[in-house]
Amino acid sequence: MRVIIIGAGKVGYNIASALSKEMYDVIVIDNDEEVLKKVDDTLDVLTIHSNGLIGKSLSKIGVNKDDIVIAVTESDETNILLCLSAKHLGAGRTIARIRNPEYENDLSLPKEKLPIDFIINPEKTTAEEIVRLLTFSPAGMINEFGDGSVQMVQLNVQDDSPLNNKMLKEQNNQGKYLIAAIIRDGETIIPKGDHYIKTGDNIFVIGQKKEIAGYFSSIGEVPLEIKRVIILGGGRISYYLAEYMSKLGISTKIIEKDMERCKRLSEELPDTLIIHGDGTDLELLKSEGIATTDAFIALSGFDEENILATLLARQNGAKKGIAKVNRENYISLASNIGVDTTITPSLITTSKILGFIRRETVLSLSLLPGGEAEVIEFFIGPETRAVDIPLKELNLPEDTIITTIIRDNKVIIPHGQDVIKKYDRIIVITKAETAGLVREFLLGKERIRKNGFWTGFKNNRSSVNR
Amino acid sequence: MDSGLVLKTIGHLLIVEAVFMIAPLGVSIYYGESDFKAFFIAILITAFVGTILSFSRARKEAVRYKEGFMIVGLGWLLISIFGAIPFLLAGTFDNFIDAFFETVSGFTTTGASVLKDIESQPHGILFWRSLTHWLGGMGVLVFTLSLLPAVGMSSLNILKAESTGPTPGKLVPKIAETARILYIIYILLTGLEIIFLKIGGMPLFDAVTHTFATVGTGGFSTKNKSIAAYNMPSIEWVIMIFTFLAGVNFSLYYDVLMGKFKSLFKDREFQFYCTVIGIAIILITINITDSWGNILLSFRQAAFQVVTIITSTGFATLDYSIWPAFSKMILFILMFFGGCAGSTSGGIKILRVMIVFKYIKREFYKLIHPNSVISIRIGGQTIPENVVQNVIAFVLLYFLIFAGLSLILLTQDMDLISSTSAVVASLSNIGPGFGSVGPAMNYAGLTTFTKILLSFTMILGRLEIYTVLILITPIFWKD
Repeated sequence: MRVIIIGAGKVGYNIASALSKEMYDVIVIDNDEEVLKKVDDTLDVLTIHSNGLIGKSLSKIGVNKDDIVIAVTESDETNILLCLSAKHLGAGRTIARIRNPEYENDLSLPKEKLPIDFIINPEKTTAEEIVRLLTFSPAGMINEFGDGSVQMVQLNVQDDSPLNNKMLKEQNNQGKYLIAAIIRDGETIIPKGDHYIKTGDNIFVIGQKKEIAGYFSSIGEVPLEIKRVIILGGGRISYYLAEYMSKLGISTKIIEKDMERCKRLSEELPDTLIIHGDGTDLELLKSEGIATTDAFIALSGFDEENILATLLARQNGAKKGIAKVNRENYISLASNIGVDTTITPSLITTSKILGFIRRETVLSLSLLPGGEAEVIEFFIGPETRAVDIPLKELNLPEDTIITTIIRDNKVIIPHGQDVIKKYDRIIVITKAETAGLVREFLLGKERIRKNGFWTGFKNNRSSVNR
Repeated sequence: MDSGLVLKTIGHLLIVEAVFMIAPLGVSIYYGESDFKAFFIAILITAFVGTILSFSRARKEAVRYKEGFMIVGLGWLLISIFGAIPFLLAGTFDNFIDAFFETVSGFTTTGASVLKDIESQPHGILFWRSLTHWLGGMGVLVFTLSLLPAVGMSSLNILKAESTGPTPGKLVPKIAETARILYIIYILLTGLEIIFLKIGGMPLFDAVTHTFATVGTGGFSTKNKSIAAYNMPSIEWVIMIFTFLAGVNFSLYYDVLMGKFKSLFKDREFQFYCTVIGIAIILITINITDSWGNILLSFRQAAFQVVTIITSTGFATLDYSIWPAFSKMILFILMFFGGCAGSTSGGIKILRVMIVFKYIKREFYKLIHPNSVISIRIGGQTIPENVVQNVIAFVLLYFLIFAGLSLILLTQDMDLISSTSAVVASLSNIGPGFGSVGPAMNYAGLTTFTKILLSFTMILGRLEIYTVLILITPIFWKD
């Protein structure tokens, strides 16, 4: 199956990186030679420099019904147009990133007539993610599986945390939740029972929703009730977020530097207080009541500003700080210096798109920060090989844990002697490079492309010139 | 630089080489000759070193520029050293330098030989000698890539460093698949030529070895007199046609196999390649018919020599040293050209020549329209400006190296014609030159220093200069 990604930005790159490690043939098209060079150097994909004529490149590749076209260029209009022409050329599925909310609302065609099978609005999705985070404040990241019955929650282990220097086994053994991953110094570890937790670790606890809250309060992480929020930056994410906040009845202030933008926001958001000023100005923050603020969310366009403003706010009394960080390299850095939570729109967008591409076999998917590990929810169909074998005898690929089994609406945190049964839903955590193997292993029936000697001729009916 | 990755890949490369040595081992056992011991020991040594190296721990990273250059440069040196072992053990050569020269000449598809009496050699040795052409033609590393499950690792930099032409790229998204496609086409060509040569009246062993030398555009023959030994027009035509085909960009064959026949004839580089060959054949035919008298014979000989020289093969059907100076000069010029980018041939490559011509044309145009902005296009495809600059520098470097090395060779007791033609014949991976290294002579009489120098010149030419030169520049080793 071919995946054609148009636009080699962060999202395009991340999707290409994840899919090229699996059975997909990935083609990346972009206008910018420099970014393509980076893709070429690091990923096993085909890059095409389109010379500004992306549509022409598409028709030259010869899109067919097995192909998925993902349009993630900077411009909404281009993305819509490309999906339209890809559909016309015969693409099976199309995905477009559309930022402008007006377009999304205006594309009021019936679904089957719409040339786009999946529309992703990164800002809106990010705002939703932030709302979820605010509802459970100790968490650095929350992902839901099994229609909300299972949660995976990230926690940053502080100096004074009772978890410090504890062995994982002691934490896991109640069978209700499990520490599925640790991110330490930017490196993702899928731990075994004898790993120790250290200060500064980001641990990912997975389990039944209500059990997790109980577990967190048992280790002294009591959720805050969020009543007052200050948002730095008046971009699109802030807009969506403020809208959600006003629905939840949370008092929200947005600090924005640009007067014009302030005026516009104040027209659009009647329930939100818009403040014109610099969010890193301590006097302004103090006079706006940073000391009594429950959450400070920095969503400006600059990573550095977001990180610093969050630190400043935390120091001056804000109970929780969330910083938007676009550069993935900064994520571990930010959490090391005391930012409770970072949020990266491109990672969220990537997980959503990957989830859509694999939706036939995968119910939901999320990437851990840094993108090194994936948490995948599978539905076990009747043809799976892996059923009725105790998990410990299953010979799963390395760095892979079956964290949860959902059977008849019951959530099971499995032990080595538990088995997978038909029609179970299971949640697996694995490293990105073995994700394909794991799927193959657990699903078995999936059409796995044989990487035979002649594959190049069989699968590429239409070729691409140098 | 990730030295673990470099060693690991080279380890795989040596294992592949050891596996390929099984073929000549089989041949020598079949013919019951004594050289099977040499191959047996060589296989053990190569496989042993390869296995040890392949256990090197690589950090999980892509092959970046540095690793790419290192793998290819060091890899080629090592396969040549290990490839020389059978020649030494079988007693073909009594010193390492000669054996190394012969192996390098084989892998780089040059076909310059220091072997005085070829026909007296056992079959296994001759087979290995020709097989090195076949392996080196498309690239041993490309073959290794097609086998390695390079999960998530981009080894494009290896493919780029080993393939010919200014902008080698992939045919399909997966690199292993691209490498496999190239080899499938290569194997198809090989199979076809063996069949045609057999029909044309060649014994099977000769057909196979000459096919290896043809499709790899090498030029080693198993006969002392090269192709002239057979004295059969049918064989000459078959070899000529396949030599021509081996000089064409292999991705065009992929297009043809995928049903796009038109793209072969629409390709500007292919058109230019045919035109150059056509003009050269006509000029030489006219020039030598005066002295030969027989126009058909002249045409056949002219065509054979033109094709074999431009594709950097270097087979001989006659000693062209006796041709008039005009014809010899044409051949000399063609030695620089080489075949198309993405083929198995050596030389500057047609595509680069075309880019240089277009660049010169643009410079002229700019004299009249100083403010014009013109991008260089080949067949509607814009050539990026950095590629254009790279090509110009490449061609310049080519001539600089040619001049410099020729000067050095003149200190080694060689005349002007012999030294210049020996350098270009090595740099362009052709084999025979003029004078004392002409088709009727060979490289055996050169000094040891010259042999070492020319061995490196061949690798320099096969890996298209930059890859090797970058390894000996201090910038490369600075972090």
